[in-house]
Amino acid sequence: MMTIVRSFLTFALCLLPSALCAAQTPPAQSPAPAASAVASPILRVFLDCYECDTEYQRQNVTFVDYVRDRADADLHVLVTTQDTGSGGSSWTVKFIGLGRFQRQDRTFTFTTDQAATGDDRRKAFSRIFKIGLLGYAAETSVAPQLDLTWTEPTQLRSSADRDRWNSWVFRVNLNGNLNGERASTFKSARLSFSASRTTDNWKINVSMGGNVDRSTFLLEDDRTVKSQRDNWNLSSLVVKSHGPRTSSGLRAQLWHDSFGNYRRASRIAPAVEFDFFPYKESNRRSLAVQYSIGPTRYQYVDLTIYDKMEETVPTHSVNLSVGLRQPWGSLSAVADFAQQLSHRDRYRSGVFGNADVRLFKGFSFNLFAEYARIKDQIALRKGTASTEDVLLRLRQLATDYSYFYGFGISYSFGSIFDNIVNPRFNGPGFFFF
Amino acid sequence: MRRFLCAALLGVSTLVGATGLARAQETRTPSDQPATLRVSLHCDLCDLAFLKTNIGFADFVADAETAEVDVTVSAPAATSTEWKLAFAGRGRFAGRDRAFTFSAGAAAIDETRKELARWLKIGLAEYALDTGAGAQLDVKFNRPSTNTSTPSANRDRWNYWVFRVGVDAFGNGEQATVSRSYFVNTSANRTTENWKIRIGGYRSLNWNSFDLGDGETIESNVSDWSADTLIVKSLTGHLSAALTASVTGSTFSNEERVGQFAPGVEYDIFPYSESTKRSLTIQYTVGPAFYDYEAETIFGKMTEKIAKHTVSTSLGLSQPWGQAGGSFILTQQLTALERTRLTFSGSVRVRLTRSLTVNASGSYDRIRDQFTLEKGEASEEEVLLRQRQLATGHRYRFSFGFQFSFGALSNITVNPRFSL
Repeated sequence: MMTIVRSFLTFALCLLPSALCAAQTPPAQSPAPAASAVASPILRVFLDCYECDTEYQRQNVTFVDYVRDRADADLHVLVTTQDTGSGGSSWTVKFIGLGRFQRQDRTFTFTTDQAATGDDRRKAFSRIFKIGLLGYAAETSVAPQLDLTWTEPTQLRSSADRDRWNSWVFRVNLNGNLNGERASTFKSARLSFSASRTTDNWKINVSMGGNVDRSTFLLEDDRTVKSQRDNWNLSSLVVKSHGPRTSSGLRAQLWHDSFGNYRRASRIAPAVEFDFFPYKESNRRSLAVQYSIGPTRYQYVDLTIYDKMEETVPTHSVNLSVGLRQPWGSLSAVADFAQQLSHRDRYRSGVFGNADVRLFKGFSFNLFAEYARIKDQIALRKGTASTEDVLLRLRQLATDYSYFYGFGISYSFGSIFDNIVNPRFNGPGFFFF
Repeated sequence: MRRFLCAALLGVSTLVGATGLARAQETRTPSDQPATLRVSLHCDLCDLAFLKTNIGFADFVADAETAEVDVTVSAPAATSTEWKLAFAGRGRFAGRDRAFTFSAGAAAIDETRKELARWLKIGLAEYALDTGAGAQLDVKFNRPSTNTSTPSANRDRWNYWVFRVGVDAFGNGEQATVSRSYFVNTSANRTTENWKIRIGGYRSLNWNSFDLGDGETIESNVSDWSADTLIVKSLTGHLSAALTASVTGSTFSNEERVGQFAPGVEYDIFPYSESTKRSLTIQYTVGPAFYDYEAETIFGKMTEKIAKHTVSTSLGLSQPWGQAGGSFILTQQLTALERTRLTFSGSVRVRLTRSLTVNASGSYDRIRDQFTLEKGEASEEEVLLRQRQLATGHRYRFSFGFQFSFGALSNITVNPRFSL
C-alpha cells in the first residue's frame, strides 16, 4: 500500500509544476481559423437562458464562440418559457443583434410537449438555436462549413386528439419521501389531481391535493419527540378573457391546514384583472392589477384567541404586480392588501420584489424580499406553544409582521470565453433529489 | 359551510357549461401553419430546376404577389467573382430582410450552382422555420479538422483564467423567530481541454433564534468554511489524473480544521466528450488528512492524523427516454482498516408513455467511521434543530414520484391571465 501512496505522491509533485506551466502557455490545440472569403471572426454569442442545458449546447453547437458577458457579444440570445395549456412549454427565442448586427433582431417560437424529457427539450432548443444563428454565422469565417438540411416528412402530423378532449387536460401526481438515521426519521407524502382547460378565451382549473409530514426524534434521555403537519385543499379557478387586457374570474376554495389551525375553511370570490400591457407580451412585460371580493368560512381545530370555533368573514383584496424580462435582466414586484369588511382594522398588506440585474460588465446582483404587515391573525390557537411546537414550526405564532430577503452580488473578470466543457473529476452527476 | 361549497360548485359548473359553447378552434396546436414557404426568385443566371430539386422545403412561385419572401440574386460583374443575395420578407415576414455575398465562379459550373443553392438555403432557413416544413430543418456544420470552436489564446489576454467573487445573504423572521445566513465565495478557474484548474474558497454562517414565549430564547449557530484546489490533467480521451487539496472547518461536524491532500486518477468508459449524454467513471484517490477538533471526540482526541483512500464509480445517462444515474463510493482509513463508509445512491426519471413519467431516487450510507463525534450528550435543541452530528450506523434517503396526464396533450395555448 505504501508503494502506491509513494508513487502517487511522486506523480502529484510532477503534476503541479506542469499544471502551473500550462497556465502560462497557450494550449497545443490553438485553432487556425479556416480560410474563407469572409474575413469576420467567429460569432460571439451570449446565451441568456435558464432552461437550455448550456453545457450541452456548448458541446454540440460549435460554430460560434460562447462569451460570459453580454458586453463581449455580437449576439444576445434571450430565451423565455411559459406553460402551455397541456402542461408543456412555449419557448420564445429572441436573437438580439449587437455591434455590427445592431437592429438585426429575430424572434422564433416553438413548443415542447409536457412529456418531453431533458434530452428532448435541449435537442429541440438546439435545432432552433442553430437555425436562428445561421443568418448571423453566415457572415463569419465558418460560413463555408455551414449548410441547411431538410428531410421530407414520411407522414403528416396527426391532430386526432385535438377535438376529442375539447382542450381538457387531466393530471395526477404522487410523491413520497423517506429519510432517516439512528436518532431521527422523516416521512412525507403528497398526492394531487388537476383538471384544466386552457384556450385563448377561457382558463379553467380544478385541483385537489393533500400533504402529510411526519418526523420522529430520539432524544439522548430516551424520550421520543414526534411531529406531524398535514394539509389538503380543493380549489377551482375560472377565468374569462375580455379583450387583450381585461379578464374576469371566479375562485372557489376549500382547505384544511393543521399549522394554521384550520380544520376546514372555504372561500368563494369573484375577481377582475386588468393588464396595462397586452397579455400576449406577458413573457417580456406585464403590469396587472386585480381586485377580488367574497366571504370566507372558517372552522378551527382548537379554540382561537377570540374564543371562536367557527366564523364567517367577508373580505376584499387588491393586488398590483409588475413583471419584466429584458436584455439587462429581470424584475418582478407585487403589492397586495386584504381587508375584512366587517372589521376594517383586521387587514394584511405586503410587498414582494425580485430583481436579477446585470449592472455592468462582469457585475450582477440579485435581490428578493418580502415584507408583510399582519393585523388579521384571527385563527391563532389559544394557550402557549410548547418548545417542540416552536422549534419544529408546528403551529402559527402571533406576530405583527413577517419578512424574508435574499441578496447576492457577483463579480467576475478574466477570459471572456465560455466554450469548453471539461467534465473530468466533476464528481457524481445527474442527481435530482 | 355547505352553502358556500354549493355556491362554489354551481358557479364553476355554470362557467364550465358556458365554455362548452366555446369552439375548440380557440386552442392552438402545432399544425396551424402554412405547409411550405412561397418564394419569389429574381435571378437571370440561376438553374431553377436544380434549385427546386435541392431546396425541397420551399415553393418557387411565379406570382410575386403570393410570395412570402422575395429573393434577388445578382451575378458577379465581368471582373468579379462576388455573388450578391438579398432576402426581403413579405406579409407576416415584413421587415425581416437580410443580404449575403459570396465568391464563386461562373453560373454554369456545377460547383457554383451548388454553392448558390447552399446560400439560398441559409438565407431561407429563418423564414422556413415558421412553416409546416420547419420541423424537418436542421443545420449541418462540417467542422474543420482544427478546432475552431476553441478561442485562440492570442484573442484571450487572460489566457482562459476566470475570477469570481460572490456574496449572498438570506434572512426571514417574524416576532418570535428570526433566521439569517451569509455566504461568501471566491474562485479562480482555468478550463481548457487539457487542463482544469480550480482554486476556491467559501465561508457560510447560519443563525437562528426562537423566542419560546416564557422569556427563554434559544439560539443556534452553524458555520462552515473551506479553501480548496483541484488540478486535473487530461491524459487521453478517457483518462485523467488529478490532485485535490483542501482545508475545511464545520461546527456541525465538530471539525475546527481539517487539512486533506489527495492525488487521484479517473477513467471514463465512454469518451469524456459525450459527458452530457453518458458517462461511467471509476475514480481512485489516496492521501492523508489532518484533523483538529472543536471539542474532545468520543475517542478522547483533540487532534488526529489519518491516511485514507477512496474508490468510487459513477454512472450518468441523459437519453431520449429520460435520465438515470448511480454511484458507489467506498472510503477506508489506511491507518485503521475497520473504519469505513459505504455509499450507494441512484436516481432515475423515465418517460414510460406520453402520459406517464416516473421518478425515484435514493441513497444508503453504511457508516463505520464516525471518529470525529463530539463527546457528551446532545441537548434537545441540538437534536431538534440538527445542530450537531449524532452517532448513527446508517443513513438513508428515498423518494419517488409519478406524474400521469391525459386529455388534450397537444394544446399549446398560452393563457397568462390570473397567474398570481
